[in-house]
Amino acid sequence: MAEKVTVEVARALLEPYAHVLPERLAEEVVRKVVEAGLTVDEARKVVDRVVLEYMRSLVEPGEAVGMVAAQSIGEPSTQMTLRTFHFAGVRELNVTLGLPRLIEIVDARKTVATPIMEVYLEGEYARSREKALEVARELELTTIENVSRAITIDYVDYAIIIELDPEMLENRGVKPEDVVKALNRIKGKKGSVELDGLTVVFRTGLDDAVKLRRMYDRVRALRVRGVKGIKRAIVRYDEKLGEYKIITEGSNLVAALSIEGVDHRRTISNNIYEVAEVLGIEAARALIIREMKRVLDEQGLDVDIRHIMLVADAMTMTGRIRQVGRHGVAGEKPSVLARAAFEVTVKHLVDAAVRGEVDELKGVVENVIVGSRVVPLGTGMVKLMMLTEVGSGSASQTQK
Amino acid sequence: MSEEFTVKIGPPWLTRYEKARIIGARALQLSLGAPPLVPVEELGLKDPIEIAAVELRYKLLPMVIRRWTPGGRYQDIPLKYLEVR
Repeated sequence: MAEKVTVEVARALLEPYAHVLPERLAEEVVRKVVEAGLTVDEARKVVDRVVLEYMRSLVEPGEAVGMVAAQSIGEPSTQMTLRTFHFAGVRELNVTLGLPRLIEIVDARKTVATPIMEVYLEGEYARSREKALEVARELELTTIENVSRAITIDYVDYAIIIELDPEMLENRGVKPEDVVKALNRIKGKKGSVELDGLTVVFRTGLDDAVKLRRMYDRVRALRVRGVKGIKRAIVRYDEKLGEYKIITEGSNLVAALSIEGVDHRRTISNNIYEVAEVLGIEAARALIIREMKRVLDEQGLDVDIRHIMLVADAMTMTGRIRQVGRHGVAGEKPSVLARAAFEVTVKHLVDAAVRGEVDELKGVVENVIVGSRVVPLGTGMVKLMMLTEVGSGSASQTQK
Repeated sequence: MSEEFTVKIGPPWLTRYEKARIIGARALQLSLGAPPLVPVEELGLKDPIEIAAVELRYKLLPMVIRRWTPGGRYQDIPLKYLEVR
């Protein structure tokens, strides 16, 4: 009658392997071991076995993981179609997918072709469509142009006359007073705004037709409600989560996160730079992984996630995002010879000579160039030495 | 060196690269005339690579592997502490 393991005992068994086994895996072992009602001895065996199997599943030191990752992503990419898809169903919201998107991610573009935000909602906002729509209206950028039937210029009085459209006001959840308020922000010292029913008269107080014209353009695009940069916000019902969420065209995380009802924990943009800035580099790494995986899945390409994780790690390990361009990860490659081997050979060599650079011959390319027969990879990176006196561990060691 | 030796860098067994490298290095010695550490005739071995493999399997080779990290850390690991698989 041996006693059964408890959670505490199981955790203690795993303690020595804390630096080997990932936390999540360790927790799973604890849970399973307790669930199965094993004895302490049995649990110890299970733990040992799990640790062994885990270590066996790791890549061996010396494996060219970067090269394998590059090929494993590169080859399927050649199979991708260049089509961009539309979002299933909902009012044709465009998303860049496929090769163009993949290139966008890897290039770490500052501006993406189709910025999208997935805005998740909190509490009752997530449960009611009406409430969700409220948030969507708060997000969607509404300009004066959006709610007017006509905007005309009165060149005699130097005024801009805006005729509001009641239907559009209703749709956008905007009151005529909001329009007046928005205009008040830009009217300046001499200007004045009057509201008469659905007509707004904005006396600019300007004295130059060109300036008036410019003001007219400014008024048309004036923000009445919503968030700058968000062209459209669509409420969607997420079947999996059983709640409403909002998809936006255009993104502005900072502004969106501070809106009431928005769940700041889950809301995400597809702009990697923006995410890195607002949510941090780890979030950006996770986003790179998610976006690349999504693009590849979309095309039915099965790429192991660890290859993608490696790329994401390489791109973000310095704490800021670096692109993977034609020269590899930007800023990498300390070797002159490796750089010279790629492009503009002479320039690289001359520059390196001027700066007095040293090549430590640590990479593959350099070693091939200088003609050494081993490259620091796989078998070539094993350092073997010989014990000159057999049996005694402290014997002098000579390089072999 | 105490008996409490632990492998701090890499797995506690020979990686396939290490194995290949050791067998290769030893086979070269044998091919150049080094005396084998196993009774070759009894085992019916002729190929230096096969002899080296047997020598490795029985951990007869007085070798040390220097496992290193790109950060500059390294650990010298005598063969006897590494499992041969």
